[in-house]
Amino acid sequence: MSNALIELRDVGVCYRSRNLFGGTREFWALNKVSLTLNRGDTLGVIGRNGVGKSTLLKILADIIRPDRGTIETQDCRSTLLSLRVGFLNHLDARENAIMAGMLLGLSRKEIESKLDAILDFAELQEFVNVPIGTYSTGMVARLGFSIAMQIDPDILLIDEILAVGDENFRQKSSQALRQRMQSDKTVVLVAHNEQVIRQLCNQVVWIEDGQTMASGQADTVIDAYNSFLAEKQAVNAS
Amino acid sequence: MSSHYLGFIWYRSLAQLRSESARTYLGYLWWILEPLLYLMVFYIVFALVLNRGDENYVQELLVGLVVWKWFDSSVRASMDVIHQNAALIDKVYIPKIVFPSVSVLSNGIKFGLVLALLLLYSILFGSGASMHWLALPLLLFMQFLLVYSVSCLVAAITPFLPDIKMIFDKLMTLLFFLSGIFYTAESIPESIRGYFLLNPAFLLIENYRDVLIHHQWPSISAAAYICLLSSIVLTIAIIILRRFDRIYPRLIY
Repeated sequence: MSNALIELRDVGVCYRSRNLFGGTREFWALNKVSLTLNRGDTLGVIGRNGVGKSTLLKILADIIRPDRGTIETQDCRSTLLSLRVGFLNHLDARENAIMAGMLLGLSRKEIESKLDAILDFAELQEFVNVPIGTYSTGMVARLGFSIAMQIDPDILLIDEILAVGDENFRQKSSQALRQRMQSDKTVVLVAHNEQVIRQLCNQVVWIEDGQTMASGQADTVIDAYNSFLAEKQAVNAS
Repeated sequence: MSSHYLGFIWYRSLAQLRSESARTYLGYLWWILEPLLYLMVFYIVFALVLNRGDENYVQELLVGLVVWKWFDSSVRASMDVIHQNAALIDKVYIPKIVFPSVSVLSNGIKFGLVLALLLLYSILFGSGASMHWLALPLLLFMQFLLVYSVSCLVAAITPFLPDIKMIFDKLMTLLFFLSGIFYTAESIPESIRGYFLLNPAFLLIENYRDVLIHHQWPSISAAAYICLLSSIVLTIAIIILRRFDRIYPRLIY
């Protein structure tokens, strides 16, 4: 049996904009992407803005299905790390945490048993009984992050969220994430910070214009990507 | 749908109700005040201003309005419900049928409370209770099926055609006038009464009046008709919702 949790082959996603008078416009957010995600991998996804990285994560999270290409997955749950899943502003942290936990696949009992750990990690114990609408953005992000850290999906998908909150909490959250990535958990990470990718990812996929340009060892792919960027810049400058 | 999502629908419905009442000073009191005011408006117009009807009229009007309310509020809430949850749908997979289900359940809980008040009113000031009230679970089941099927259908369609919300909105207003809420079957000219009997909402309200006011058993043929029609609509809605379950996130942005 192969070790691949997910295998994408020539996957494409097309967005059609509708307007009776403007006709239909097609836009292939992803065109031809192939990648293999093995158990225990930390896979980095790099590429410029708008090349389809977030769309790719949505496919991996099984939120959308591609218009073409094939996906082979083993029975596994992948979750996109997000900071407010279905939060209702007028409810308190506890209720929102239960709701988010259920959305992310935990049973009510499971999430209830983790409530204290969530609120402790988020450092929100003293604000438990206030509606989260009164929270600052950072506090909401801390709550969301702490909930996500209690969910243990087979595959964790991260879209640029590497740390949240104030300086203190940024360190703590970043550390928690790094710990998870360096353990044998399977993680897919979209990030622009090259250092982070080099440090954390053993595999990297480079996407340009909806297509896989290269994939493989982190250093090799990142170097190729960098020389591509330098070339672009040289062309633009001349 | 797995039991996991049933648990979520239940929790989310209650959470929405709590959230709604947290937004007002009077909170839960509005669950009773709002329908009371709603009933009062129609009472003033039809019973006082137009001076309509006989001894039973007020009770007939109340039954019509209360039964209509669950249908109306759920369907209207469901029209936009997938779009309203765009941020959520974009972040985590969730069967889209969950959203109209939450609309139907949270409005159903409010309806349950108002129905209880209506029953109390019927006992104290209306035609009193009778053994025919035992048919209430059947009526509730029919009503649930009707409300749920139409709610799911509008929820399934509007993301594809956002413009259709305007049409649905006006259709609901039309249906309000055609469903015999402030009049009964007897007041419709016989030549066109047959058409009204095709409207499941009309039949449902008439059946409620038969049971609650006229101490009769509900019409089995009407019940069968409502259940059959609702089941067909619900099946179509579920097929659409399932077929496009992973397309909806791409329609709304």
